Amino acid sequence: MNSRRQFLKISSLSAAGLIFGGGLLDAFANNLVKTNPSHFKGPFDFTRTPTYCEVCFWKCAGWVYKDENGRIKKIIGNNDDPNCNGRFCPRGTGGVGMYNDEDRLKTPLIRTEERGKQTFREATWDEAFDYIAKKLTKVKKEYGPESLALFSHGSGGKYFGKVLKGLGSNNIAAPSYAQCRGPREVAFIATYGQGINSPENTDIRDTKCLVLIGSHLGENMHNGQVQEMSDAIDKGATIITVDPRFSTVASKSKFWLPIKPSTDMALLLTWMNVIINEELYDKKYVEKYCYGFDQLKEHVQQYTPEWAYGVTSLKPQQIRETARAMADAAPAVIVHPGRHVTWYGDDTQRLRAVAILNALLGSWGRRGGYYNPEKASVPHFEIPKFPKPNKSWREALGGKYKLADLALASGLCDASMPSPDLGHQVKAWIVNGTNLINTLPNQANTLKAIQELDLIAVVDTMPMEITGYADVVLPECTYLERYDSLRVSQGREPSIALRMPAVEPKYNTKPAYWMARELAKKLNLLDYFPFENLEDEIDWELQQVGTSLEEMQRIGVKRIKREYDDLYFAKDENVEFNTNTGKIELYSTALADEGFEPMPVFVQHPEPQEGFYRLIYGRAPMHTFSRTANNPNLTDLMDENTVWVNPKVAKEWDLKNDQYVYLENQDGIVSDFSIKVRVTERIRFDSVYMVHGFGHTDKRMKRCFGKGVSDTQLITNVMTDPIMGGTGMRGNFVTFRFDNKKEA
Amino acid sequence: MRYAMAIDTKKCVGCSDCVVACQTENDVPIGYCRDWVVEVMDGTYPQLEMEIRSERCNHCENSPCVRCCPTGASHYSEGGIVLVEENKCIGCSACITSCPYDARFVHPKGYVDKCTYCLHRVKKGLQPACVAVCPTKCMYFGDLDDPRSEVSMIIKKRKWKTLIPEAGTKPHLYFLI
Amino acid sequence: MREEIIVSGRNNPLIDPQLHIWHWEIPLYLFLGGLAAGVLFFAALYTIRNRENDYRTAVKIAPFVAPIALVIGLIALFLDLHHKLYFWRLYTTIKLESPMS
Repeated sequence: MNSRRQFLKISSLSAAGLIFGGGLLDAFANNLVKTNPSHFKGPFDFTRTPTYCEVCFWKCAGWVYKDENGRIKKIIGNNDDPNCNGRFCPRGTGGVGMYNDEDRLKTPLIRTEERGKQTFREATWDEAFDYIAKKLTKVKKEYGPESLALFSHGSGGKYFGKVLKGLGSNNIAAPSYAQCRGPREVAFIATYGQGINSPENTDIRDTKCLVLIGSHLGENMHNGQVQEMSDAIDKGATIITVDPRFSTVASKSKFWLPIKPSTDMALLLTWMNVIINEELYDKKYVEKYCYGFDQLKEHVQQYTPEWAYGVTSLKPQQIRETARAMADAAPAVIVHPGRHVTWYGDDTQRLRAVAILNALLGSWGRRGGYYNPEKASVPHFEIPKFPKPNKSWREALGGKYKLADLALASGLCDASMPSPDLGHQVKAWIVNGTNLINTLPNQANTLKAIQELDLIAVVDTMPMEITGYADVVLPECTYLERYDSLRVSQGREPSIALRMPAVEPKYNTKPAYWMARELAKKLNLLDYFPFENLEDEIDWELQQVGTSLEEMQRIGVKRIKREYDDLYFAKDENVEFNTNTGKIELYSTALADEGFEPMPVFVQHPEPQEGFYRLIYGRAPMHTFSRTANNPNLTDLMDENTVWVNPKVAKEWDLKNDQYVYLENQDGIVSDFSIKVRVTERIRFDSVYMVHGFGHTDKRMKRCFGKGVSDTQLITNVMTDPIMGGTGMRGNFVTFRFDNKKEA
Repeated sequence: MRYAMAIDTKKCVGCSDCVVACQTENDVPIGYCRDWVVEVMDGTYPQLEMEIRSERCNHCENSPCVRCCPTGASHYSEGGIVLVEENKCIGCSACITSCPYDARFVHPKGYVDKCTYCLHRVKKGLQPACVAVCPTKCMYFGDLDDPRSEVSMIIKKRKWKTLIPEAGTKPHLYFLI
Repeated sequence: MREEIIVSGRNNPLIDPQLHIWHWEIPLYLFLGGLAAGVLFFAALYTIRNRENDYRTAVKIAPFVAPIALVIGLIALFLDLHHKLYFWRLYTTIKLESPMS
């Protein structure tokens, strides 16, 4: 063994040598190993294609960027688009997930029976179209063309609509009418002579006071409205929120009125009372443009703030304060009409109250209130006239709901079941892009209707629950893989947007236009589809308005100058409204003619019994109900809904945060799955809240199957609006259970 | 040059668009996130108040993660932005333990990943993906050393706070309250 | 009541719960490292104080445990790394402020 000193020397040298050599090695290695610091992840020179989003109805226009391998990388907004101003919402940005989702429908399916069990077998497109065409022809011969119906929510509806109209039926319904915004349209048509439609013509960015009664802006991600609300907050606008729940926007409001659920009508009528009696209304506006003020004044005398306190649990002082705040800001005040307004069955009347309040404050047609929207007029290629239908959807509903201006999805569903009240029965459905099982309330009713049908063909991108009941399933490619008709939406200035495919359709999916055309071929309706490729039709249309497909592919969105310079009413302008009297009808002659109340009246609605809580549902900004429930990017943000429970209630039931419970409603329906409890002060003690669109029962959707609870399942008590047939869904009460065994 | 970000909690609605945009821009794998949204609520019904914040790496001036990285993978880059060099990171997770804001995570490929203030976009004069996409326009990004940048002007105008100031990290992410 | 929740989902078990960043490898390494150090310390102590013949096992046999324990400890440490192929970077840099270095 060496002497100790030497040993140390060698080791210390070698230690130094290691460090020195290590440094050299490091430098050497850095040159060898390709330096790829994590921040340089592109963008390289991406190719981009224009599109407009299909995730919700706002249809923001944007650009789809692809990476160097030609795969879709990201979607961002188009700066020229007035709907989104270059910024997409989380669902639009997460649209890539819709394309990448491996649970998508991949090939056409036809229902067949194998060994006594019903199942789907893969089929060719030709087989599927043959099946549908044969069945449609048979049903048309046996029951007449009025027995065919189309339910649609999405861009493909136009094309299947042509097929149906060509066959002689006009039973074309979108659930967004009777299940969502229908009462609002009828109420505003009755008052102002025009509906609101989409996107809403609220001038939020210039408003001084935004009153949200029944709108949770910020949680419902209406892109343009949220952007404008942010602008309004910057400018110091007052926000008044009326909501039994402490919503996101309630936390940004100057006044939050925690109203008792189902009593909103009382508050609106009381506000009218205060505004009229304290003479805070716009006298010149009312005198010039409104009809029926004296009747209204007399009518609202009974609705005092003191009376309202007993009904709504809101303090009279608060009601007066907010009414004065609204009047202070007039005419730059918006009493927001909301969008999903089918609540308690008297919804048309409640929206009439909203319309009347706006008229009293003089906000309709004024800056900061409601502007006059304009839509670009794009001519359509002339096709032969459709045959006049012998019977329309109105007769299918037995002549009820004369004031409804569009077909009712729930009505057509009801019309599919034999009943003595009906004019005729609907026997065949084509369902395009809407999951009727989760859309129409009272699921048992929908399922019964489906059993009575001779044919149900479903067109969808994802294996949603409705596809499980279909005879034929046609897989559509997502909006990122197809052309669609031009987006011509209303707004402050008209604009048109182009959708073109960014990539080829994945799997064996096809665009709705191609499907409708192939189906038309089999039914001898090709005259209505003169263009083989949709892009040729788009090019023709664009040439009529002075541009071309090639230009639109470069710019994505084209803004067009307004034809009439009437964004707001000019000072002292004589305006004629499209109503019976030619004025804004505070007293509605149209409603009176049909035998309904000409002015809104407060009606008490049923309350939950002991141990039950009102089921309130709403939206989350990262999801569009079922449509995005399986999207991988968006399930990352939120993969299940939770039930909000007040701490007092939680204590009573001994519920802890993050515990899972089942819900049972007043009719004994128990939820299929359990839901996570969120104990929070933000909800009233007499209600529970959950986000709509979860609780999926289709196993083919691996990310969202069994997660959360479907509120649609628990909505069995439907309060139908007598005026236009809207299905009120907030009259359901639930209680908690710790198991889901159904009592024998 | 000192890059910083300011987020207006009065306008943020908690939509989480910043999370998805960051995911698609930076190829963050599904199941991971470089930024997240926190909702804080105080009070008893009906006296309630709520603050919503979008949090991410604060790119601290005195960052504990850079200090404790054994290989120097975690380093200061242009404008004070803290970055991780993939080829130097050994995945020891020391930085994850040291970050008071829980901003880092281990990427499935093995290295440690976090918000980079989209330096690749900032270099081209664009804003980070989250700032560019936010629908309420509540996020501001810019150079603190430039008195005319958005960030400098907004923090002069409004009241702001930073998170966990007692940790002494001198973060470059301001929340306007 | 005060409620503080993450709204955007963070399905990342590597961050939340935050105290669970390191797993069994680190305690094993620390224990074995301490064991090796303790064995060598006592071997050295008895050698210095010329009591090596009284504690033959401790001085002559036990030190063989030290390198074995260290090797196992270092293997555990290596296994803990997420970016394993770059482990050599640890040996090519000195950072005085880093406890890991």
